[in-house]
Amino acid sequence: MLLYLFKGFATLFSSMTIVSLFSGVVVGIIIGVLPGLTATMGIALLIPLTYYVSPANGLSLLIGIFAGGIYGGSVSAILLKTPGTPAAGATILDGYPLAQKGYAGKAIAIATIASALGGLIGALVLSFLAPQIAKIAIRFGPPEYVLLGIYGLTMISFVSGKYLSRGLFAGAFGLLISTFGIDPITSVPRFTFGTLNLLNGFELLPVLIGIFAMSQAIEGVRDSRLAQPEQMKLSKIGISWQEFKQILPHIVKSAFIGTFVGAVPGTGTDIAAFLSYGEAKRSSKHPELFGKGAIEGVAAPESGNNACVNGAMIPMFTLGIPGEAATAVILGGLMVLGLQPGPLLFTDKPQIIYTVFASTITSNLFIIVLGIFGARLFAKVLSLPKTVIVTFIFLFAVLGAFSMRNSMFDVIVMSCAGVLGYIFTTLEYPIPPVLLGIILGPLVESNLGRTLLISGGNLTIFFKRPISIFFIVIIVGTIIQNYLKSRKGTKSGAGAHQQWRTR
Amino acid sequence: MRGRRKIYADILMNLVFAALPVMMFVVSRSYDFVEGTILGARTFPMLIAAILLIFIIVNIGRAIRNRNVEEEIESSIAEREDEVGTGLLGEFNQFIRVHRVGVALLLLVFYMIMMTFVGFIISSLLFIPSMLYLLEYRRAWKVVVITIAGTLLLHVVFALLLGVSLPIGLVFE
Repeated sequence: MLLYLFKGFATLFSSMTIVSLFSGVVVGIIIGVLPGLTATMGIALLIPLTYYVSPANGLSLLIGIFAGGIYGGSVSAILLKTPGTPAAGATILDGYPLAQKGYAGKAIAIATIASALGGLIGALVLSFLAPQIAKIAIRFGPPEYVLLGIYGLTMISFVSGKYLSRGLFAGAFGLLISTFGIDPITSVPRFTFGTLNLLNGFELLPVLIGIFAMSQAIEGVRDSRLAQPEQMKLSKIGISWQEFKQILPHIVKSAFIGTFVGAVPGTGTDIAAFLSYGEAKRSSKHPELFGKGAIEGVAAPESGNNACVNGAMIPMFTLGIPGEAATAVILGGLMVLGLQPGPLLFTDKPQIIYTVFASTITSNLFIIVLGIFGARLFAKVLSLPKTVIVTFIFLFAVLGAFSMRNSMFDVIVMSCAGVLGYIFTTLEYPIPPVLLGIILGPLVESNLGRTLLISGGNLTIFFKRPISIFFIVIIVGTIIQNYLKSRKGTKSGAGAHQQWRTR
Repeated sequence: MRGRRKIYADILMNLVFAALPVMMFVVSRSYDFVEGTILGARTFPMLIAAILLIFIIVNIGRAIRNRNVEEEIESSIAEREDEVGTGLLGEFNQFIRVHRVGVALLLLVFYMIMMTFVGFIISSLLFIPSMLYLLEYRRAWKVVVITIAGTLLLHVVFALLLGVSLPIGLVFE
C-alpha cells in the first residue's frame, strides 16, 4: 500500500495532476470565500471540465475545490461575520471577535494552519484506512450490495431534519428518476417516450449541475438585493510559536473528531466543526474566553471541518456511499469519469486512487501556502460584484451541461433540475436525497434483480450471509436511532439537514 | 416567503408531483414480468411510485394540519431600497425587480432558444447585459467590458481549450 502511495505521489508531481490540484484549491478558496456559494456548487459546476482530462487530474481538481472551498469559508466568517460555507459557521464564534479586536490577520493565520493540519491528518487516515475497508468490501455479492444501497438510503433519515417525510419524498423522487431508461434485468426501455435522449435515462451531469449550481444561481438572483455586511480590515497575518503550541493539541484532537464524523454517512462538515468547537471549549483551561476571540475557538472548528472533508471520502471511495453533500457530487463526478465507486477501484485502478490520496495530502500544503501568502488577495474577492458572479454561474451551468454530449436536451434537463432544486430549497425540502436516490437507485435495483434470480425469488438469502446480516443489523439500528433522535428533537439531525439543505 | 403562502405552495408542489408516480403506474402496466417471477421492468418503478405517493399524501396532510400553525417568516437581512427611476422605465424597473426570479428564468429560456438559432456568441452577447440589467448592475462601460470579455473567455475555455463544439446557430449553418 505504501508503495502505491509513493507511486501516487510520483504520478501527482510528474504530471499535470499537480496543476489540476492547485487550480482546484485556488478556485475552491475563491468559491468558499464568497458567501452563498458553496464547495458543492463549485464541484458540480466544474465537473464538465474533468471530462476532458485524465480521471486522476479530474478527481484532483474536484478534491482541490472541496478542500479549498471548506477552508475558504473561514475568510468571510472572520472578516464579514458571514460563513462562506455552512462548515465555517462555528468559526464565526471566535474568529469574528478576534477580527473585531484588530487581529483579523491572526485569525486567518490560525484558520489556515488549523485547516491544513486538520486536513492533513484526515488525509493520512483516509489513505491508510480506506484500503483496509475496501479489502472487506470486495467480498460483497449482490445481496450485500442491495443492503449497502438501502443503508445508503437510510442516510435520508439523517438529513431530513424536522420533516422526515420530506426527505423520504425527495429520496423516493430521486429513485423514481433513476428508473428512466433501459431496465437492467430485462433490457426493456422504460419511460423513454420514444426519444433516444432518454434511452440511458437522465444523464447524471446535467442533473448535478442543475440541482446544485443552477438552483444556487437562481437563489443568487432572488437574494441579489440583500444588503452586504461590512468587511473587517485585514491586519498582519501570522501567529507566534507560543500561540502555535497553544492550539496544536486542539488541532490534533479536532482532526480526529472531524475525520470520524466525516466517515459516518449523513453527517457533514458543519457538524464536525461544531463538535470540535464544543470539545475544545470543554477541554480548555479558559472556557470563559470562548466566544470572545479565543484562538483555540478558531483552530478547533477549522481543523475539524477540513479533516471531515477527508473522512467523508472514506465511505465514498470504499463503499460508493457519500459521506455528505459534496462527496455525493464527487461520487457523481466519479461516474461521469467512467469510474465505478467502491472496493473494485482499489484493485482495478490503484494508480488513480492512490494519486487521489496523494492529492488529498498535498492539497493541505497548498492551503497553507495560499492561505498565508494569498489571504489579502482572497479577501479582495469579497468585494467582487455578486451580480456578475451569478450571471456567469448561469452561463457556466448551461455550457457545462451542453459540453458533455453537445446536446441542448441536456441543457433543458439541467434547467429543469435547477428550477426543481430552487423550489425544493425554497419550500425547505432537502435536495441531496434526490441525488442519493438517483445514484443508489440503479445499484439497488440491478443487485436486487440479481439476488432474486440467484435465490429463485427467495428473500431469505439476505439472512443467510454474515455480511448481509451485519448490514441488516446496522440498517435497523440506524432507523431506530434516527427515529428516537427525531422524537427527542436533538440538534444534530437539524444541523445535518441544514448542511445538506444549504449545500 | 410568507408562512401561509409557503404552505399552499407546498401542497401545490406535492399535487403536481403526484402526476409522476401516477404516470409511472399507468405506463408500467405495459411492461411484462419475467416469466414465473415478480421481476420485470415494472417492479421497481411501481414499488417506488407507491412509496412516493405515500409520502406525497403524508406531506399534504402535514401541510394542511399546520396551515394555521406556521407564522410569517421574515428575512433577517433587509433588502436594499434603491430608486428605480421614474416614468415608464421606472415602472419597468420596478416590475423586473419584484419578479426578478421569473424574469431570470425567462431570460434563461430565451438564451437557450437564441443559442439554437443564432449560436453561442450572439446569444451570450445578449444574455449577459440583460441579466446584469436585471440584477441592477448598470454601469454601462463595465457591462460592455464584462459582456465582451466574458463571452470571449467562455469561448476560449470551452471551444478552444476543451474542444467543445459550441452551437453556431441554425441561421449560420
